[in-house]
Amino acid sequence: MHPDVPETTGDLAEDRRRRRRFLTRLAATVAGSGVLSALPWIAPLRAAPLGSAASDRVRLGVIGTGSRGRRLMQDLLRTPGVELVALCDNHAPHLRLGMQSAGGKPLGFSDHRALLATPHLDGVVIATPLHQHAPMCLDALAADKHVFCEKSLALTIDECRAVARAAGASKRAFQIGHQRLFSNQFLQAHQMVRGGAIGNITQIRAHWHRNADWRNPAATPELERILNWRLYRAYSAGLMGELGSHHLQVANWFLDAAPLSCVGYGSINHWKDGREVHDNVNVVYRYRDGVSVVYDSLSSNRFHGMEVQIMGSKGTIEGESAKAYFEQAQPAPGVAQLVSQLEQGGFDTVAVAAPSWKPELKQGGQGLALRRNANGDDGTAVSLAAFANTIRSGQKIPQMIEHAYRAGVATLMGLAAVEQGGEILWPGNYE
Amino acid sequence: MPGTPVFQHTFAAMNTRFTMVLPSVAAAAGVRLAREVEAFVGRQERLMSRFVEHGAVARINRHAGQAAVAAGDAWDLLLACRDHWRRTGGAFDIAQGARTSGASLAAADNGMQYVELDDAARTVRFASPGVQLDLGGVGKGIALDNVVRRLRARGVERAFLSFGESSIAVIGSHPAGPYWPVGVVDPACDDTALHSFRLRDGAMSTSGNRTDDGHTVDPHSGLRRNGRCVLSVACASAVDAEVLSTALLVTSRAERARILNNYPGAEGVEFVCSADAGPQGLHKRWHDAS
Repeated sequence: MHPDVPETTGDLAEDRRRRRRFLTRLAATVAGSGVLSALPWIAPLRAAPLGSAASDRVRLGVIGTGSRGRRLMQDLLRTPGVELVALCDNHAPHLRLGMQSAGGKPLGFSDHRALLATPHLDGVVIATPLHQHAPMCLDALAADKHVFCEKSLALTIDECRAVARAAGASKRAFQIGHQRLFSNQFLQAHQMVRGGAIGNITQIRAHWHRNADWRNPAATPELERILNWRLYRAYSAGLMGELGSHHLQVANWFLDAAPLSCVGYGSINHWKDGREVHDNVNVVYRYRDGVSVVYDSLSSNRFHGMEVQIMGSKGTIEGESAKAYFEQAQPAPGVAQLVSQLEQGGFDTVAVAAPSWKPELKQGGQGLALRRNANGDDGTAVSLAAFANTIRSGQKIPQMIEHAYRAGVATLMGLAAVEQGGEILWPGNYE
Repeated sequence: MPGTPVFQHTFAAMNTRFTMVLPSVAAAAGVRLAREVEAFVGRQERLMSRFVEHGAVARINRHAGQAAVAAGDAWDLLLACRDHWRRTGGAFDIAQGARTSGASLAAADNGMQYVELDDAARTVRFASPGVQLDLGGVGKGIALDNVVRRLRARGVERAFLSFGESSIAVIGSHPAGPYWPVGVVDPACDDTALHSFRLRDGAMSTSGNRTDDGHTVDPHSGLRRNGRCVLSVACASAVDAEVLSTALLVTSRAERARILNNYPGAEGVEFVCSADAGPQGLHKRWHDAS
């Protein structure tokens, strides 16, 4: 949500200026740092400034205008150069809400194939239930459209492989909504890890705990599976797919690897309401070099909230809290400045004397704060802006398909471990 | 010479960090000195910490309430702390540990007046059950002065030493100037100095509150010094600087002058939160460079 940026003012030129300022602020927080801008997926954000030519406009359709789709639309409506030309949802009330938030300007469809036939459509943003991701992505790629699809990639490993192959063969951009790739705090954390700040990663722990039934009110029985699709196995990978995929993507990214195997356990021990997906999942992944990723998600207790902890011999980074903690004492910033001054032969006051410093332990609530995105963005707005700039510049963001495939498959490996038992092995790359 | 790497080593000790910067020492010699200093400070911590179970101070805290306890290696420290207690008119007091840990701020049953030191037997006994020794701050100053002596004995002619940034000692002068210019950090802006001290073969200590809640207690009133503030003192030894930055934080302007008479050459400066300077602003309230 970006409460400081109004939807529209009615003045097109002013709207354009507001959009431009909004994105500039967002992008500046990520791309402004010289070191961070070396990251390849940030490159599209540094594309040439927008002109007013028609070729600078990106014409997008949104498939799925439920809560997540409309949330993405809020960002898209504020992204410079983006024009929402078509919306699609097979649930009429959701389509109506989508059309309302877009000011009634786009064309409305109930079938995504009809939307794909819209003239001059550049790309689509897909935010539908998981079982629809693969068919819709494949249809959109076959129609030669750029594709941004919400995580996770698909409902089965075979579908993940098929979509990744099609995306790899396409000239168009393909991006899954792993917004942490576009979040300043995760980018800074990744840079710190690569620089050796926390030593070699020895374990990643992640959890997402809530105390809620995960239900939307369904007025009639036939709406149950439409509005509460997450609870039914034919449409959903449950907690692993909807929540776990976020942190599994982070784990794969930071370890620069896919998991070798995993074991897990899950059950329905609290919400015995007819749902088919587990209300708690607990999975341990094995990566190369003996590194493990421990993931669990609960629906019946929110005490620990949500976090991903990247742990090394020299320190820990908490990605969601945007904090770094060091096992070994680091010199004060003033001391580092003094050493630099001595090395350069300078002589000036260095601010260093202060009330006693306390170590950065978790229990102390201290820690080194990482930079966050502007405007409270969790990376979603920047990731959509990057998608639009990719289309405009024709410059694909590297590694997007790998991120999508690895995270999508790791999610489904965890689900299989929880559902079937035993150790589930990595099924191989998509190519 | 510009471009030459400067040896620096930081390690954890006494619930904070110890940093040594040795500008004129080659890397290999620096590593040897750093190992020696780290081991030495570890021994100092075991001696003085009330949290190290087998340490001298922890042992005294456990048993001196029941009977006289041999002070062992802590004897000289206790005498020195009693001396500072007297020279500060009681404003510096290591024997209010139970009070600073929150048991009873207003209790009148603790303080150095209840610590009985037997010079002949070198024993210590607490004459009141409320007494606990806490050498937290001054312990850093004691260790720092000892490290300075050891480094000098090893031939080190220039050094910048920081114990948690609250205790700083220097040997000699900055390589590019006649003194070490050491700034007091502005809590509202970490890389800005509120005041700069010129240290040469000297030390300084900083006390204060980063937030509105304080932890330093006035031994006379039993009240905490609250409100955001920073108080720094520079003088010849790190122990004296620690004693003064603690004592002056809880005393009035008139008392400060009396205390400083007993510590010739000390310079103190205090900054407090000011409504005029905005919610983050600190202004200089007191400066004594007599």
